Amino acid sequence: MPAIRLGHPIFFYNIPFQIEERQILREMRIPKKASLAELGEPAMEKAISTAIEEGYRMIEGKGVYRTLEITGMEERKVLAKETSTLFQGEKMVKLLKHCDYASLIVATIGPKIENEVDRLTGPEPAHAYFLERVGAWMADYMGIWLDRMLEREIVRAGYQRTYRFGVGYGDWPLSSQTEVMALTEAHQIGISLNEAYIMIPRLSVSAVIGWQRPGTEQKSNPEAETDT
Amino acid sequence: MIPILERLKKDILLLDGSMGALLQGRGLPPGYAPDLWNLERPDEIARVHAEYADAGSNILLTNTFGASRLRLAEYNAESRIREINHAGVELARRASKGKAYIAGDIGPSGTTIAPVGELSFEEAVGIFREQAAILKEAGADLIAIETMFDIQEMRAALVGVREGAPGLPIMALMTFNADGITDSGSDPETVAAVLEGFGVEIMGLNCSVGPEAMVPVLERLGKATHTFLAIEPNAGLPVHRDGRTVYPTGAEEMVSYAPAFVAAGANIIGGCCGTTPDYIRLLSKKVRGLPPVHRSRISLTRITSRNTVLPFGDGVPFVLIGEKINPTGKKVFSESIAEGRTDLIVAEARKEAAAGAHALDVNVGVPLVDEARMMEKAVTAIGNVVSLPLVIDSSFASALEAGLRIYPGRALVNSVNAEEERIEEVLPLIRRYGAAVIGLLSGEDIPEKAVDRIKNAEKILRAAEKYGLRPEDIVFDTLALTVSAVQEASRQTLETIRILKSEWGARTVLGLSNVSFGLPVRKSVHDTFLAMAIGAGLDGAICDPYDPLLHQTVAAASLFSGRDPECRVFIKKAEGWTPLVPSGNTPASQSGSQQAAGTSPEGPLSTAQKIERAIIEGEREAITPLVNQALSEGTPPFSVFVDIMTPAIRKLGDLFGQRLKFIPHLIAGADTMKKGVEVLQPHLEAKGPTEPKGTIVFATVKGDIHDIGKNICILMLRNFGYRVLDLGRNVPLDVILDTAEKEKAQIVALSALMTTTMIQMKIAIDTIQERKLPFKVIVGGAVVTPKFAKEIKADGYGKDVGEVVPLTERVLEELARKPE
Repeated sequence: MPAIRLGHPIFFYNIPFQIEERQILREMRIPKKASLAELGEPAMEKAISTAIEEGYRMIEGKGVYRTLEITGMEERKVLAKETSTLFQGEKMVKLLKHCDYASLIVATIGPKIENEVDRLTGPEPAHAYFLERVGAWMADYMGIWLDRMLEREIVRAGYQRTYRFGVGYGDWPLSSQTEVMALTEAHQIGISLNEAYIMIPRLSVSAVIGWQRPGTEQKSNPEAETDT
Repeated sequence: MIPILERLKKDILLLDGSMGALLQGRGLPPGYAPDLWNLERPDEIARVHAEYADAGSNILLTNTFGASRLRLAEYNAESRIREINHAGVELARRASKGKAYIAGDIGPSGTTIAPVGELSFEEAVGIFREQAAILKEAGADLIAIETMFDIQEMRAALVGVREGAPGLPIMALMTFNADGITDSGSDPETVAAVLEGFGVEIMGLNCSVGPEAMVPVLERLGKATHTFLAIEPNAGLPVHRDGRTVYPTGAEEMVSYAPAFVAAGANIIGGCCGTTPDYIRLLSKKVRGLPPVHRSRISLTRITSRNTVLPFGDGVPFVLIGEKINPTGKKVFSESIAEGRTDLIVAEARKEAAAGAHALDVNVGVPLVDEARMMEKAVTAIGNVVSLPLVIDSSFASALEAGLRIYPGRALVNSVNAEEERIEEVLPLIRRYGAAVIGLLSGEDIPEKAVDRIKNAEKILRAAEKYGLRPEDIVFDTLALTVSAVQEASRQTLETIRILKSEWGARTVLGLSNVSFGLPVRKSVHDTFLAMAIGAGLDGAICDPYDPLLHQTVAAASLFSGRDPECRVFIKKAEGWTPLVPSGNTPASQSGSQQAAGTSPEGPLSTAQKIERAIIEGEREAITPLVNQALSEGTPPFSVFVDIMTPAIRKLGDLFGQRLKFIPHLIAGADTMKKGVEVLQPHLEAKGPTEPKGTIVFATVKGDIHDIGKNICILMLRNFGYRVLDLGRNVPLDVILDTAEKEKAQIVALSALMTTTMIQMKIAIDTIQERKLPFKVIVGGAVVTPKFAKEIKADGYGKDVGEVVPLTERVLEELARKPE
């Protein structure tokens, strides 16, 4: 059995990707359409497909995860070998209660799309919107890609994954981002924080996933699966 | 002992089972490196080996799975790499008593490899090379590379092992998930083609899932290669019970899958995590004496990406290699490469893939550009977004090598020719990186006659064999020369294809576009030549995938060349070429052209109707000429705005309310209207200032840097004639209130997209109330709810951009009704 990769972050660059029309339409809240062709509106099809193609040219998917060893549990805090301050709050305790490990994941699509969105916002607001929606979904996509990569490692080690819990959700303070960034060395994939603990590039996600012992399953919490 | 590869021709051999599980039973602490026990507890290691040897294992894996420099560094033991690996081989050898082959075991590096991972390919090669060299020196009979999740790491390991342990057979085992693909997305067919490219002697799969899920993967591997096959299943997926890792599948159940393994072509069977000597003992009884299944050689040339295989040869589809990623004659494309950009390369790759290319030729040769660096960037960028196999094309060996190194599959190299110098620089690369190569049948000059081209083919083939390559590693380019210059040469090209196909059984390709150079109607010329070449036996072409006639030519010619059984492909494709429309019916596409022509079922549209439609449909490019047309027809500018555009955007809002249009439509419509208003602006200003309908200060609150929704709301409001002061994002409250006071705003509109910044809205409202300021406050943003808006006593809440105008109108009406 391959060893559980502890003690250092695992980095991923050049994450392969596909931009699914179905997901972009969902992101734009256009219901019941799986493809642009189904819209039957040439102007809208062209506008969205242009944004998708630009996405292909601009996205640079990167990510990192780091697995921490859980050493103890307090009423409102989970202790790990590497940190006693990161995992705070009742929801965090509930999430990691039956876990031996917890993995932090951070992913980004890089700064190009949001820079372009900022540039286009004035002169071409619709184009900016379409591109921003492409970027928003693809940031999630990178998080999901990492999530799946990690999930295989979790299963191979005889554990089950918990749901993904985003930094800043529930009672996990957004200020925890500072420690998440430090532990994952997220600066190596180009991510920093602003004074309000928001990741720059904005089109980035961060979360924690627990390694849960089998037979102690938690109900999934799709709401929290929307990462920061 | 007879060499293992000879033995495998007639016998099914047994590997051993798990080492880790047995060592844990002997006290190995969880998380401790088993490899260190080669030095610390050698007797325990020897005993485990002996148990497996006694149980019937013909091959013992050394206890060196994690004994690479990188993995040992996790235990500060990297300086003992030599001792540990030597001891690993010696302990297995001693326990085998001369009755088992010793496989020097190498596991993954413990990190990820470029382009997706952080460790460079050459660093990874060095790590594997070092361990393999020690294992060979210590006397291993073969090297086993196990439990690889990523085909790129396997490639690095194969390069390293070939260099570190030349002459030793390699057993290369990948790990597949329950869905039959590896972590990096490679399916069994891709893995088989890549590993065959490296000439591994034994390939297969180990670890991860239990035996049941591995049977179909082994079957697919068996169909995809004639190489010896090995399988080492886990005793099922592990589970954690009472602080211990438990593998749930028992020895008897495990062994029940052995007949299926043999039927799928397994030549070597063993066990991975959780398996025991008992399992090997039962396995030995079950398979001893069974003959291995014979699998015949596959005489196709196969190239791959990380997850797609493309075969060249008889009976498989004709291969179209897109030629468009090439800067020759393309100024803008060349400039982008000179600037080190890959955006246009990615765009072209996407277009070629969409146009139906099966593989992409990648040439980034621009004068004074570091072509090796650019090739690495291009290959990486294309691989991120397109799953087609690549043809790495350069005159420079350094660029070829850079592309081959970073490419996580089996590439085709374009090209080698019969010149000694080129042979010597290209073929070693093909061997090192397990690639395939185009053998261009030119030499010092370009032979006109087929017989001379064949001589060059012979020279290339002989040289390839000298470098350890197989005939299947070469696709010959028989040279498409310009027919307008040398007509006989083209006939000779066809003759060369015929000879290579009928006498050699070789695979052929042509760079097509040259043939028509200098002639009119070039597409007809090279498409006709292509059909003739396919008739002669051509397997693929480097060509323009955007040419629809070319696709039809290939499909039609494939009917006559055994590449399209029962004409299925042709019939399917033909549906796309000529839409099958029942006579008398109007094809759906015609309604689009009717729209484009500015008509409707009721007749031609007026300019006002066209403007309305442009706004509702978001036809941004159409609006400027339409507004100019309305003005030229004498419609007053104010009337265009008030009587045509404003009702149009309201109608769009109504459609949104009825859920017939959605947010993107609102935004596209608003953007279109904005563009139309820009045309009207000078005319309206010439008539003097107009009174805005109201003044709104709009901001994303302090701490929040999201603003796309806010920007769209502002666009809508401005289209409706409101004066909106956009303060941007992350705006301090003082700035918002000072601006509102100074500009005499009626409304302060606040946006927030994060739960952590929503609280700024409450602070703003509390402050406004404390200071008794006259502004109404409206709020919105993805995380803001009506409940929250009510709690903080906001004057209005907008769910989305569709509500911002009605909300503003309502709030202003309330303000107007309210006495001062």
